[in-house]
Amino acid sequence: MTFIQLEFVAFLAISVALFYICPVKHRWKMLLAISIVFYGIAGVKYLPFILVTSFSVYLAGRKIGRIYETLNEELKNDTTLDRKAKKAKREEAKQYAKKFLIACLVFNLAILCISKYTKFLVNPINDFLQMLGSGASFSAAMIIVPLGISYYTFSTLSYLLDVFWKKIDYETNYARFLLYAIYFPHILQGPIERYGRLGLRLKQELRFDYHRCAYGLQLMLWGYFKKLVIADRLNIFIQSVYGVEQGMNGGFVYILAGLLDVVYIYSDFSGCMDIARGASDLFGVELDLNFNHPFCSKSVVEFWRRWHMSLGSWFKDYVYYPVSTSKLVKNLNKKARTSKIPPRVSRVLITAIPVSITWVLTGTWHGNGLGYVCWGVYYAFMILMSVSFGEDLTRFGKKLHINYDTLSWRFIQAARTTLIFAGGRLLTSPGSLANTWYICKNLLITFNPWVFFDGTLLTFGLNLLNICVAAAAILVFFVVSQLQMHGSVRDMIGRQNLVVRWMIYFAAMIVIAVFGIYGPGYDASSFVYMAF
Amino acid sequence: MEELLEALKRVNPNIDYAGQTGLYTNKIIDSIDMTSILAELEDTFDIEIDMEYIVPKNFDSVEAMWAMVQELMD
Repeated sequence: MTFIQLEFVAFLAISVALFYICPVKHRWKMLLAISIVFYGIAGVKYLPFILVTSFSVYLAGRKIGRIYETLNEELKNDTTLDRKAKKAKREEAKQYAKKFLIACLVFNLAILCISKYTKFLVNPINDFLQMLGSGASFSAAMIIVPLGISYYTFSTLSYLLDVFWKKIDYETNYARFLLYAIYFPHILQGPIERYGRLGLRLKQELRFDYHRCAYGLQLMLWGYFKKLVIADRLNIFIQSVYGVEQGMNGGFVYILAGLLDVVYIYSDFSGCMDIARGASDLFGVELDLNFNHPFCSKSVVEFWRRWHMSLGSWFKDYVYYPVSTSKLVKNLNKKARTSKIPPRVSRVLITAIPVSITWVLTGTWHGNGLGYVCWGVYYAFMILMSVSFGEDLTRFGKKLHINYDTLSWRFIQAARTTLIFAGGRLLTSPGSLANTWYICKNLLITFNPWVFFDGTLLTFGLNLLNICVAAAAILVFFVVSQLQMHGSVRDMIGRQNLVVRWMIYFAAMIVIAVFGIYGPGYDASSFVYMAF
Repeated sequence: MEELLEALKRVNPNIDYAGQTGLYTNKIIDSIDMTSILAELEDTFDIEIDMEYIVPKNFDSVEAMWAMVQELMD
């Protein structure tokens, strides 16, 4: 069941009714039951996976928490210990806790890797088995990929690491912890929530709040508009362009597809996040913001603070910083800083290792294959370039008397960020690096601006009416985004009188019903980030 | 405290550290700066900053950083 199926809307309506019928103090239990049913509808066979992951993490977290509790009691009661002895005790406890941490991390990451990546090893494994003369063979269909496995694995492991680093207290109630892991609005596509925030919100009294519910419904409508009217419409064009036999397209067709691909992925993913956050609002639970106007970013570093924010901050907190503070990197840093290497070069070297590891892993998280590794390397390179030459460019600009605070300069920066993102998408969207290479080559050597006027664009699955609808919808998306940057659009709508408000709601519903893509070839399950 | 400010200036002289609050929370210090700040503080004060110390409240102001450094030096 995906967010854009009518079954989901019916499920949500029934769930909300059951939730508010329930007494306040038992509502979290109802939410847990609803979430388990939701997950079970997606596939009962997936349930053991999330139960095993959540339970193993819960047990490891409890064990680590208790090790620290015992330590604290010992330190408190034993007044004979001097500072050195206390430090030794702390280190001993930490090493003991580390064993449980590593065992749990390895166990759950192994499940994640086997589920996500094994199907790409099916052919090599079968070849190997044949070579050995074995009659056994595997098929990709035999491998179960549990719904939202990346999201719940990352969420639960973040809890475990936070407990280990003493950033949060451990959870004593497994049912509470399971609710955090399986909470249905965020299980499909995130955001990757932290226990320190979502876990605590789910523990609060979940009372009915009219404004939160109304805002939630508005957010869901906006999400459906972005997904069904913009993303799915653009996807027809993009798939058609990238799917056409090589040699049929070139130049401006690919440029247009590349740029529309940016709009497509943004409207698809942020649309889904709006639906998820809106649905969660109906239960009085706020989910973290996952997109904050990424395309107005001044740099690629800033872009990744605004795009898929929960994933970016997850990798920053649980990969980037641990790598930065690892003994190996610290020693290398020390050597670089004490050698005769100029400070600027040493700064780049300090950053290079954690940035490269983080981005290659981020790429691998997004998908399998060399294209995603290249995608990670591409962003690592861009960020290191920004670290290396960012200040020079600023100084150079100042010498040229460029005023960085003007609207035109901000537009240039935003356009640059968008182009860098489009370049990254080009590494993965066409399906293979061979296709990417072909497209890049044709993009540069073919000059065919007449495709905008000779009807060529109408041959990629969208007729003139659909192109006009897409253009108008993108314009609405752009205008609303601009308004959002200056204040809450939902507040703005809320201030209107009843008639105007309902006219807006009905208009939105009619637009989604009439202009949403539900036609042949439409796959309701194809939210891009659901594959994770 | 002066020593700390000097160490921070060596990392990024463009940031006005003194008197600022929310250095980490408001992303005035980004993750790239943080890597250099961690290395600089460890070198300058001969301390080890573990992951449990990398939280906003320890890096939001110079005073908070100084308190963390002093705790780790003890």
